[in-house]
Amino acid sequence: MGSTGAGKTTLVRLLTRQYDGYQGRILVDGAELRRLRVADLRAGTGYAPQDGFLFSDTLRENIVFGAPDLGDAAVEQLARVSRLERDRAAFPQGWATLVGERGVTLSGGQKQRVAIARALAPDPTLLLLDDVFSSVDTETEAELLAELKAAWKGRTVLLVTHRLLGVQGADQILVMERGRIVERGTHAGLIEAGGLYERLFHQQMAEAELDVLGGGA
Amino acid sequence: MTGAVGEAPEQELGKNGIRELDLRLLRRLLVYLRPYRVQVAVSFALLLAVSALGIAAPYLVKLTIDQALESGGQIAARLAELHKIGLLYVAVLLVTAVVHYGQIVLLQSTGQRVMHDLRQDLFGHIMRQDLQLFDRQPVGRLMTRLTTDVEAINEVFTSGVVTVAMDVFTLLAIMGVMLWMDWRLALISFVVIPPLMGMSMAVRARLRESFRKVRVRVALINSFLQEHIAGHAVVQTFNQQERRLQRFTRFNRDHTDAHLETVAAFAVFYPVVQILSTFAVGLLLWSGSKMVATATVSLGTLVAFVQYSQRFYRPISDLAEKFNILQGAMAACERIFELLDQQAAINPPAVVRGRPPARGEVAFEDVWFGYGNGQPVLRGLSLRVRPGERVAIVGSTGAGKTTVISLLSRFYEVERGRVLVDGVDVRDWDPRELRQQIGVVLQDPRLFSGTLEQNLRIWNDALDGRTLHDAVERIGLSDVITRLPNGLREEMREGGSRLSTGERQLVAFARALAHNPPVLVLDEATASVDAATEARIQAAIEVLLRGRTSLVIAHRLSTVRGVDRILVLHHGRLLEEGTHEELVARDGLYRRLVEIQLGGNGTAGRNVAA
Repeated sequence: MGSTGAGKTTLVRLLTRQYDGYQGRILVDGAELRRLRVADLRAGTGYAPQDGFLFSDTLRENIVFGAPDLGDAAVEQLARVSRLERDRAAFPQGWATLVGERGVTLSGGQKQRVAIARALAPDPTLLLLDDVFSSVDTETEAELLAELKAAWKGRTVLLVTHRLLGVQGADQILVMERGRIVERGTHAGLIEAGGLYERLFHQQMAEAELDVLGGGA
Repeated sequence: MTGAVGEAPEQELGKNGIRELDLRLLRRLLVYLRPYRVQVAVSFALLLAVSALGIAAPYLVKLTIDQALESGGQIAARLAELHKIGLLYVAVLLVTAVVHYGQIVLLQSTGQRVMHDLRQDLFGHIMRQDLQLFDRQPVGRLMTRLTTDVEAINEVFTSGVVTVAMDVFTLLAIMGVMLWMDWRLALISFVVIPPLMGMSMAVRARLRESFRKVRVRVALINSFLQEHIAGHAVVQTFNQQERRLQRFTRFNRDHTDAHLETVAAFAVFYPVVQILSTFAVGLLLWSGSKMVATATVSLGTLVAFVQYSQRFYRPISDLAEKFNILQGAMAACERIFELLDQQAAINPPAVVRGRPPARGEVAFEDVWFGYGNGQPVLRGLSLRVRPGERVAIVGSTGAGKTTVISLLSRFYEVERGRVLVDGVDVRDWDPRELRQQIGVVLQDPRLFSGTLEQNLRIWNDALDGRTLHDAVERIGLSDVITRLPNGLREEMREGGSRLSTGERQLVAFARALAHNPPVLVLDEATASVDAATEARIQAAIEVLLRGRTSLVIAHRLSTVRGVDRILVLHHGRLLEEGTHEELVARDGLYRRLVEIQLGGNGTAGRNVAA
């Protein structure tokens, strides 16, 4: 987590080797990233970009983008995990519905959920989710997180997010600011430390509380 | 693998792809020609002259043969006649060249001007649209309207309508001259016209389908390319380079195939035309020679006929291709007018009631609004800001803070209720004057490519240098400017990447201050800047807000403290209002927000309240 411009997206992009010109080392399974075969690295990586970029194809084709051989059962499973399923009624031809140029016919949240399903399709060992909850409402986010928790069992997951409420269970939380990691630790540890994370967490806690309060007022 | 990608757009485009000469569209295009009617008329006149001169040449050949070579008079007289006709022939050629030159220049430049006007209209139209157009339409599609489609319309003028008119005129004129010279030979020459026309029409029908396919497939390749260039990171991270290349191969091959179909049609067509016209010339020579032998027709006439018939078959065979160009252009034309017909949701009122300069009173009365996805953002928002008052708007994400700005500047239209500036509904203001009254500084200010000065002025030349310098000085931007190698003349890259985030903020402040609007809306930045920059920004904000009605979308407690009144928005409604002290004392939502900012426990909040 971290504010705009802190370098979160850059971190994710470096991990998928979209850029090469970094100093220092990035290690994956103990091996320097640039020494790995790009195709191998990417084959083991599931990536959901910030804007949820989709192609003007069917929903199904977008979901199985990185794993074209998946069958219908697998698509159903992915749709369930990404909470896409509950919108099925809104798609006239089900998973065969065309999404329009860059997915213009979908809402922001739907696009992000397709992108999550797409990232999970190749059954990756490393899952990179770049701010994928920004356009889904809090309720969907909670549901998604609950479902995803099952899906990311056995994988390394890197989740970039602004919302901290759903990720307390993370093994490690990294707080970034201006290109650096300024805080790191478990939720409990960071709360204890009383830094930026603690402040933001309570702010969001209270905002969530306000949502309930204000809705009733 | 589904075939859906290729098929759906092909059908969709097919609907517009086939477009016969649509008179309604042509009439609308003529409107764009009206300012150039003199040029168009002259161009047409020159065109007729070119045609007529072209017809004169074979006739001169006839005269040469009949009056100089075959007349049987005195050698000297025949030579004199030969010289006379020869000079006339050269003169005709020269005049033809000059007239043709003038005609081409005039026609092409008129075509370019019409395109210029069309693009101007389109761009102006797009700029007048409310923001909802851009929420709906992919940017690429709008770009295509302004570039490729306008270019296609130029073809209507230059290669389409005009050349077809010229061909038809030439044809009729030649037919007339032939009939006048010798009706029997003329009728013999006309024998091949029906089969030639028939061929041309048949090929046209075939080509129409092929050309439509070519257009559709070019469009497919374009959108495929656009998408994969924009999304190349996704393609790469999913290791799909090979498969995408295969998919592209398919589109690319289809495109080539469609082109080859047209090539095949032409490859059959032109030799057949050649055979037909050669046959016609043969027929002409065969029967003509007999007539020359019996002296019913002069040799010169026969030679002239052979030359005429050659000028005659060409336009007939070209008609097929010309019609296809016209079709493509008509389709482009239809798409352009479709865009131009799209009504801007934001229109100036018939009677303008708002009068600048405004006093700066702002009011929302029971305003309802949503971004068209069924989710209302504002649900009956009412608020009032007095002239000169400084107000902060606070609330959590999604409360509707940013929407308040958009509605105040009338970027969107309210669904229910009213937004008032100086007691006048924003819909009764001229949108341009309304926006001059309201200065808006957004979180991440955009700089346009151009000099720093142009960015400060935003092309407002009425702004004098002193006001500008004064604004720069007071905002504290002067030392930033002195640091730049070219000062105010420094070229800003797109997005202003030469300046830091904080400096861009200051530029936006100076810009707003220089224009001195009665109402100022400020969306406070949340991006992290260092403490020194933060202090400068806060000082600049203070200068900027002084003496005007200000609405600040506040994210920091320090900003909120300095205002006259705080409006707490929640779920699109005004939930609480008052000064900081009042609101903290009230123990409501604001109190909770403050507590959160101060560290999350209740005691800190109470300390502030005390």
